[in-house]
Amino acid sequence: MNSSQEDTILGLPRRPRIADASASTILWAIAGGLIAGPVGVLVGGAAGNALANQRQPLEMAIREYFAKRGLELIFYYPAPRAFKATFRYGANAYWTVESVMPDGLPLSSEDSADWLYGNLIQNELPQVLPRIQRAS
Amino acid sequence: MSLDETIERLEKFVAEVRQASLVDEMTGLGSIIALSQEGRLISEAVSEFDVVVFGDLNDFKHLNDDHTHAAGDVALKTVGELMLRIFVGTFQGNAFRQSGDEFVILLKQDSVAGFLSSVPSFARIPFSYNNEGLETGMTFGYARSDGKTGFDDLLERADVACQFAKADGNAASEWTEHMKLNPLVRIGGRCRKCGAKISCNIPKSDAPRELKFCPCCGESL
Repeated sequence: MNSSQEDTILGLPRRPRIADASASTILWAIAGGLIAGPVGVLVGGAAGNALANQRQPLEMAIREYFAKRGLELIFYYPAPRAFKATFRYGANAYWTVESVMPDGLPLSSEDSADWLYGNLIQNELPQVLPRIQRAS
Repeated sequence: MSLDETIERLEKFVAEVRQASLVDEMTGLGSIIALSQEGRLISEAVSEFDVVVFGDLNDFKHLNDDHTHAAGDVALKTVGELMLRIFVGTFQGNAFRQSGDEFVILLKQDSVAGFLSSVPSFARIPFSYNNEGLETGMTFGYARSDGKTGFDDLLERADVACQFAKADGNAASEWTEHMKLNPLVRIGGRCRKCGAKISCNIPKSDAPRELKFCPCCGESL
């Protein structure tokens, strides 16, 4: 439906590419088996190779998004057309957000992951983050 | 890639998998595999630990039912972090998640007094979930090694002591021979009036054959 070279899908931002992730997230993803590749090339920032140009796996992209905002992804619950993510925003303070695709959205697996990511950061999280900021 | 390189990579991979299998992903505590390994050492009397503590969360099912399983997972993580800090960090013990909401802690005899003094910290463990203040709590039972009892039996004793602690409303109980002679029995029933399902654990010598009254509505069963 959409070229994965475009930065958006149905108006939502796609997942960032692996080369754009922080070194710590890349190492975490390698340790967790989400991506496989030469660590030095990735962490060293050589973004030219094919792997570095791929989009981040969904869980990795979500972890990176939270990390950049000082939040920690604690649990990730994947589902075929949805996911839930529990993150920590204080010593003993947690929140679970959900991104769910509507029925009848015929997207490929990669596009679905992009849509779920974009829906989380553009629609779901903006409803939650102000409440967290007020609470903490 | 040469055969030697392939073998080296495989060995490294196996070592990583083995290491990962020893950690419980949910809590960061030791896994059931790590517990099994340490338990074998206790049974062979070569472990540094000689006290087995069993603990489980109070009303964990209600937390899951009322606030979703994700909230239950958060409770497990919160408890795991507290256990790591106190039992592992302070008392130099080892802590494991056995399954679900069941935890096992291994201590040395000289840490028992410290353990008992820390138990109140686990009675009410607050956390915030989706902006709602929730709490969980733990009850413990423990058994000291007599130098001749295997780990599995010590763990069973600690589990029994934990059930007694819950039945008595205590935060922790030590296993005694009396618990073996007068074990808890579970009796239950269903109220014909309000439909409530009732069950409780009572020491065998005090247990009626069946429940007589529903604690919800007072109706005769």
